[in-house]
Amino acid sequence: MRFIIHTILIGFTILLLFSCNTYKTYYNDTITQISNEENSKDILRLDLSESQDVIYNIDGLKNLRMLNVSTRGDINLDSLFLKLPNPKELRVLILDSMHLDNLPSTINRFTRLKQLSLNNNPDLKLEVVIHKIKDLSIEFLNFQHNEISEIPENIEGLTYLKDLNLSNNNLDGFNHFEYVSSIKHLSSLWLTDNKLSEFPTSLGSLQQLRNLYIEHNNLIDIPEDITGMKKVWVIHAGHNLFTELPANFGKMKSLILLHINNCQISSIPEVYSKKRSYSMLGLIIDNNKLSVNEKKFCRKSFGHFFVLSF
Amino acid sequence: MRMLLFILLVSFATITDSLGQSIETNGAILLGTNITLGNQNVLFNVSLKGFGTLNYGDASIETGATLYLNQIFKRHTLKTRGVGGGYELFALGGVGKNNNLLGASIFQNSSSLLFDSRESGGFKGLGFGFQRELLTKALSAYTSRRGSVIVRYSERDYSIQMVFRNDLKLGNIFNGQATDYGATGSLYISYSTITSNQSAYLAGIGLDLFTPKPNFSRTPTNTLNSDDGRKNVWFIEPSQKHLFYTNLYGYATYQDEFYSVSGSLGVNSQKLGAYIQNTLHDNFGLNPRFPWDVAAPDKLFYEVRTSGSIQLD
Repeated sequence: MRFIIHTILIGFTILLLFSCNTYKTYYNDTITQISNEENSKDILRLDLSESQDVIYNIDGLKNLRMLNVSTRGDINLDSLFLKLPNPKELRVLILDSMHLDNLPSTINRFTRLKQLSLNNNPDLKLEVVIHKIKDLSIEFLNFQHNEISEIPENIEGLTYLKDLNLSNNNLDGFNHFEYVSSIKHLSSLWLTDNKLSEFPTSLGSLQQLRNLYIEHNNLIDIPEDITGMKKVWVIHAGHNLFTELPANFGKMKSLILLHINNCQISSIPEVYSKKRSYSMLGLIIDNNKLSVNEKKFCRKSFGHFFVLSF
Repeated sequence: MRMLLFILLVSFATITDSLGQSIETNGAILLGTNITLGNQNVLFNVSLKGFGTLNYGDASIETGATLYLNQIFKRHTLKTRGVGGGYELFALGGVGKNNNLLGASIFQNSSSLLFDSRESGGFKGLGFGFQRELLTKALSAYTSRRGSVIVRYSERDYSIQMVFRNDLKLGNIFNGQATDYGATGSLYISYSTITSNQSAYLAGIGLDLFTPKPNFSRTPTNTLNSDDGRKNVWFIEPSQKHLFYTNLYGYATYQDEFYSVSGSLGVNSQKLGAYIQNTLHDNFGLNPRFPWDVAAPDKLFYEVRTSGSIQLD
């Protein structure tokens, strides 16, 4: 059925290409400075992160969908947000590396904001920031490189949130992950490059999650609780300390694709020898310590996969 | 699957023969050479194609096979010299009086057409196939096998066919190589017609996606095509970075008794490739994405082919 669905989708997506939101928000040219001559109402994407210019002449930015002012600590965000002429158009706001500890209240003007990136603002008062954005329909929050070691309780109130990136922080597995588990519509969760030595068992109750990223941690095993994630399709678990392909991945009901490259895996447990006992259909297990016999086992057991790399 | 088809074919012939019903068959072989000149491919090609139909009452089966060798000068946008080759097999089952051999328009290399103007068409069928292209040197990593699903509708002297190819592997029916890089997805919809005893035309639209091999050992945090950091995206080895294309094009072939001319013209659009592949990768558990340069302007895609061929009935 999958290839029939692919065929239909290809035809359908071509028809939609020139009118879709994705095209307008992400595929247009990104302008890096506003010149006086520029017809600023045509600017959909504006990235001033590399610019040294004083920001003026923003009255014409009526169709702005993406604004990136990362590294621009000189900018008064409150004033900038107030001056933007059509805040309802903005979908993506990137405020990385700005030494922020808070957000101005005027962020609430962006009522249709879908993505907010606050990477590398280690002084950020997470609880206060989350309180300020709780009424916005934000779907993606990017909190990488913020030295986060505690997850605030009010994160569970972000009911529109679908994707949460907590990579490159100081999370060790015992940081109130139950609050993350309470986010109703969470679909993707990044915990890449933290200090997880144990997989947080409370995440097992994230029944609606589709993508889980736990690369670059210190995991040596995966507990059975992970099987509570009944809808997960893809897991990225590379660059950990596994010495055996975790058997509990094989018990997950919907797992399609597992990336588990660059670990210490030298053996594949028996659970993977019975094709019908697991749902997995793709495996990327490059740069591990599989012996010739284990590679033979992979070819034999996983030969029917739609993606197989080792 | 091939064995199953063979058994079905033999069973079908045995049963119908024992019932005293007549079986009509038709088939032909085409020997050909062609030169391809374009901005993505420059090739000299020698091929052998065979196509046959078998009809019993209103039931019909058709099958085709081709074997070819390429002297490659440029392939998949990369200038490289070497000898490549490949093969393709397909089979369809359906209903109709199917003798004009226009079902051979299904072959991917449709720069020369195989047909029988003495017979009429009439076929509605569905089938599967697979193809494998062998590449050499810098492109050897992109040797791939793709599965096909084929739908064909034909009346009297014309045929409309839709072919979807993908490297997905789904059991034995859809037998792709499952690499998810190289020539991954293609879609062709074409119309072919016999215009005289010695000539035929084909016109169609095609869509081809090609992506380079990702670096599986690197954490997929590429910012290109990441929807401003929301999606994971593979990194590609620097030497392979430019090996992305998505061609959306029209193509046409004119076939005379011993020669044919063929051409393709369209756009090579990174935006289109990103949109199509992102949709599939985001929604069917194939993440990460590939780093399509979504800000790149579209380019022209063109190809002309001339062929010499001999049809043996």
